[in-house]
Amino acid sequence: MLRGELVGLRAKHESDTPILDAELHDDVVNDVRSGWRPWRPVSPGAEASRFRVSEPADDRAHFAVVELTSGTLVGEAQLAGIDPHNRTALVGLALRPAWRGKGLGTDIVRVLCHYAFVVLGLHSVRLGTLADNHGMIKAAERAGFTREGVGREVAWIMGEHVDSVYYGMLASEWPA
Amino acid sequence: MTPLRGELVRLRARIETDVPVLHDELHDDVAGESRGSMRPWRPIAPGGDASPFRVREPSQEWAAFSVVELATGTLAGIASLWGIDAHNRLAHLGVALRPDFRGKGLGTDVVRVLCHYGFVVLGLHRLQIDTLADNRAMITAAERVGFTREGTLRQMAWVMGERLDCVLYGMLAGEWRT
Repeated sequence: MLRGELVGLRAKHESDTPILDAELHDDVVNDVRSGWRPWRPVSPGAEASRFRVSEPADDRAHFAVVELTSGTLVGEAQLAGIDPHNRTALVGLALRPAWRGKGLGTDIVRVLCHYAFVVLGLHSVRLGTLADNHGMIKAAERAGFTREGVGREVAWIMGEHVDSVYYGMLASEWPA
Repeated sequence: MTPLRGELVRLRARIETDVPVLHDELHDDVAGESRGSMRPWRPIAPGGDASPFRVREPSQEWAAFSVVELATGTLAGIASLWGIDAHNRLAHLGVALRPDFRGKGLGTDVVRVLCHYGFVVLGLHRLQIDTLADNRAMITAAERVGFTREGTLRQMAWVMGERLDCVLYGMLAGEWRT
């Protein structure tokens, strides 16, 4: 397990999937805002669940996030698009509703940076989120990311075109 | 008459006779291909299934064109819409010209025709150009056509021994005027 101050990142277990499906996928607005994809109904246990347990892959690392003190599942986190040539990847996370607003996001971003820079040896990581996602933006800025750009009207979110913002961190800036 | 025509170029589907020319002049230029693809260059046999310029069946996710110079009828390079995202209604633009066809303003015309294809034919909402920060030709084309610079991804790319920044340009359908 990878440990921060408040959270640990471990592999996903079968018992995590129904909780994440129910609290993250089945909340249509939450799922659309986090995935920028058309929401679709996914049956419990279906292969299409993005929270199912999957085999390790070279281009992504999916984690379940637990609170260190209680061991309770609080959300999921991932490094995606791991690119060994340019040595870069994207960080992303989602918290269960009851665990938002407690500063866990910042700690998760820090642990993902540790994994990317120290364990994998990447040169940079990026984080893209909706311009009105204050929780994620706060986590990125507290973890020391630099705002690098905006994608105007890049995402179709529940009836409107919404801007995204891009943040980046270089290995030489870590730990911030 | 094809609608995919600018002032200097037209865009058409790839044909078999394009492939060896593009493979030789674009893929086999190691530095050029590394800059354009931002991937590690590898030796690929001309005519093989791995050739980036092979003739392929159409896809929902990309549209690969060959560029023809109108004045001579000659193959001048390639142009593509890639990462076509039907939900968010966006796509990315790519252009690569054969060495003899660079510096003649064709790139700007190709970008305009790709915008026409993306906004008018496909009905997309946003087009994006992602390129190296020192790619003056692509940046000039993007700015002449009216794209807005939206960001710089610092040290994003590893290109022939150097760390290079990438720049992002975007255009919205409402900003496009034919």
